[in-house]
Amino acid sequence: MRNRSHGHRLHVSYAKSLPERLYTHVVVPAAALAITIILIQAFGTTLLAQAPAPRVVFAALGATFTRLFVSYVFAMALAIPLALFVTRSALAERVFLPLFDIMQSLPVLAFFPVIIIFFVHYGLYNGAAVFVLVITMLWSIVFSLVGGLRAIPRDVCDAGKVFGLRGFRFVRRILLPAAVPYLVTGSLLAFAGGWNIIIVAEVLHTYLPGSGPSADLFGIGSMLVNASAAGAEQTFLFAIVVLVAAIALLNLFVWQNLLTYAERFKFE
Amino acid sequence: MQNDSNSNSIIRFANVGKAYDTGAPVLTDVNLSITRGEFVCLVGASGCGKSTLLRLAAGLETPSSGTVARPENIGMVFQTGALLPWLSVYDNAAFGLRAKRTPEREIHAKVPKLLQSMGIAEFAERRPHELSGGQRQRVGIARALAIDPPVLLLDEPFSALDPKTTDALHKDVLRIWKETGVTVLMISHLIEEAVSLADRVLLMKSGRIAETYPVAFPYPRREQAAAFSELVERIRHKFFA
Repeated sequence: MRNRSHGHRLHVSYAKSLPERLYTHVVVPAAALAITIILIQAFGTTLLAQAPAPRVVFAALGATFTRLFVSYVFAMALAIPLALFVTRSALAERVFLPLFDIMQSLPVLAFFPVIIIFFVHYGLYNGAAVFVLVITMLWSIVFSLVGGLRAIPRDVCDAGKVFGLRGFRFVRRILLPAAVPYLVTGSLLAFAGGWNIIIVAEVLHTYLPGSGPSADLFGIGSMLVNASAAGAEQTFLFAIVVLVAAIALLNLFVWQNLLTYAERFKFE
Repeated sequence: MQNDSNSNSIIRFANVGKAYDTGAPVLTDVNLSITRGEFVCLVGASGCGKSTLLRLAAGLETPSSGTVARPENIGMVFQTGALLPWLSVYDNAAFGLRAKRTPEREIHAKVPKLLQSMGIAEFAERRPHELSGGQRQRVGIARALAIDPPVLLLDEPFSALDPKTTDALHKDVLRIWKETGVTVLMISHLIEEAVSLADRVLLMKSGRIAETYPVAFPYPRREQAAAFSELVERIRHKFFA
């Protein structure tokens, strides 16, 4: 007899090879720790004496992460229907995929000044950053997902159809679970791109004539850029150590676990 | 066993043609009537249209011409198993029932019995990648049978299995067929397999049913028997002609 009604358990550990485990659980954390120790050794005393209160740096990190996360949610909400639509028919794929390719290759930051002027006109300072982040994140998720949806074996789709699954229920029970590994890798790439862009996307004042750093969005990206511009080395170093540590921890505790979890959704 | 009267047929192809936008027709003027409870096997070289015929019977394709009459509720077993890797054996077997919005209470009453009858009850909590090829195919059969289909379609379900496993699964399929009275339409790439299971073998050639062979031997059929091998030879001869 079974004693649970729905079969969704989250804790599944997969056997990973020893070198792989050594890499993710020993080499990467050790390297991050070593870099941190070297930085503190080199700049530690002045850093701790003159850096901004850790509270401010962590708040900036939090603000930036929230911005990234909100953008990610929007990007996912757009990417999933787009990918489903493109893979729906050979015709849609032929027409829209090249279009997506062009849009993906457009350098987002080149349009940033125009985007900022538009959003700032309506007082949406965060909107400008989120917009740029969504555009950056969107395509890595879309292309990853398109690859994943194409890779679903035909038999598996047929199995769903024979049981009468159509439309949304087919998407929910077959397509989305089958795409989980690709959603995870797409999301990982999206965040990587996001962290990259945030360094610029928060610094609105460089695009707004006659304004200063006060026009920027509060976040770790603007903190880094402004500290560097003002020659505030301590602030810069403190902020970058926090940023690197945060990204390393995210990788270790979020992405590695998600990648492991995604294994169970893979076809052989 | 061929029965051309409308009354008792459960699957009926009338002048069915199938062509895709590009290239030659895959099926031409197929007429086929399968009687309730019959076990029919399709044999033929690759590209002869047997897969398309099965897909039409499954409702996965629509005919370009002619009509296909088939029940709505169909169980299908795939060559690759087509199990969902993220679901346990239990949840895979229950997949069709959940797809058809069956109440969980009913699923609980049904699936364990089915797994028991397929000899895979002990693997209920495992996931497909932890099973052997034969066990996976048993899950595939359990999933197809769970919805109590009047028709079971089998698309070369044993072609990737070793002879011993294939033999055991043949026995199970025959047992299920006899116990449930389900109508079976199966594709096979082995003439011996078709003759040992079916009570009608259809040989397909370039999109048509080229020949029909009723098989009247009693079960269990012995491949060593003279009449058995004689029939296999007759089909083989026509196959390569």
